[in-house]
Amino acid sequence: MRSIHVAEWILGLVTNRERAASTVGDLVEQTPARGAVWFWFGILRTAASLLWRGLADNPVRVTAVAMVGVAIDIVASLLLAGLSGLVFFVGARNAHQAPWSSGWWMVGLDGLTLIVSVLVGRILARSAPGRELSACLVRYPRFGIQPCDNVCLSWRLRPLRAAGGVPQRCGPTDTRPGRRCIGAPTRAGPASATPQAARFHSSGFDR
Amino acid sequence: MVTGPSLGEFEQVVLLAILRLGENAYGVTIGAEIIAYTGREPGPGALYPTLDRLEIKGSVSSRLGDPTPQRGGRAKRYFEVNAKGLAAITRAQQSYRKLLEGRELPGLNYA
Repeated sequence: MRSIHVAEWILGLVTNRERAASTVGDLVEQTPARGAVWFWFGILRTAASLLWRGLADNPVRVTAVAMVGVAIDIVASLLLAGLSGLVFFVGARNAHQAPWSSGWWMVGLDGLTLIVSVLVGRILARSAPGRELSACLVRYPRFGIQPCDNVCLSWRLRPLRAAGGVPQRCGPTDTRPGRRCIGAPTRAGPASATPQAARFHSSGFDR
Repeated sequence: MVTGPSLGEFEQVVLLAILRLGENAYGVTIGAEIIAYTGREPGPGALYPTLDRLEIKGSVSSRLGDPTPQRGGRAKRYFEVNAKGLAAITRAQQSYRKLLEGRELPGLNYA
């Protein structure tokens, strides 16, 4: 039965495979009398209890493993930031549009961040057998914030790009439609002609 | 001076249930024994982490049985109280007895 494998996989995240299998077997044995809802509640409550036990029984070790993960994550983030800076400056010199305002660049950055997080998770899982999920959960604030801020930044820029208010890098002689330079007057008036662009300029986001 | 692991109230209940069941003590029967003798139903979220904790403390040991089709082909894990667990439960129960000496609780009668 497929659900048994799923249940075993869930428990396998917080305990070893043998224990997970025997616990699932116990719950399967009682399922005809108690029902499928009881089975799944049992799996989730057992997983939650074992997860908490992983944290509570050895908080120092779990925190130490999590801190190793955070340290690796910071180093990886610095490398990614260096790469972003390189792409930004090379792109800014050779193209009219700043690369950081491209949605694809944001998606690529989020993808790289996710890959790094998965790799760090694997390292943690190997260094804390039986407490993999606990260690990763302690590291979660770090894991959660970084992709979020990239996504938020993408959404923050989206309406501005649609309104043509995103600053474009262009030369003083660039008169193509939609190419407005920061601070430069255009045919339609000043750079903050649209309400969204005005908000953008007043927020200081373009400085 | 007390040496060895201290036991929580539910850990004592689980240990006593395992002692009562003898060789047939695994998750399902331990839960049923606790319901039968205490009237309270331990959820899987309480029972299995407690069994794990008792094993880590060295109070119980476990062995795997044969897989059965009624259990989706999963083996039973049989538990047994070992010497350390027996000493711990004896010590805990002696403490209760000492605390009760000279006191009478309604409905409680040690024969």
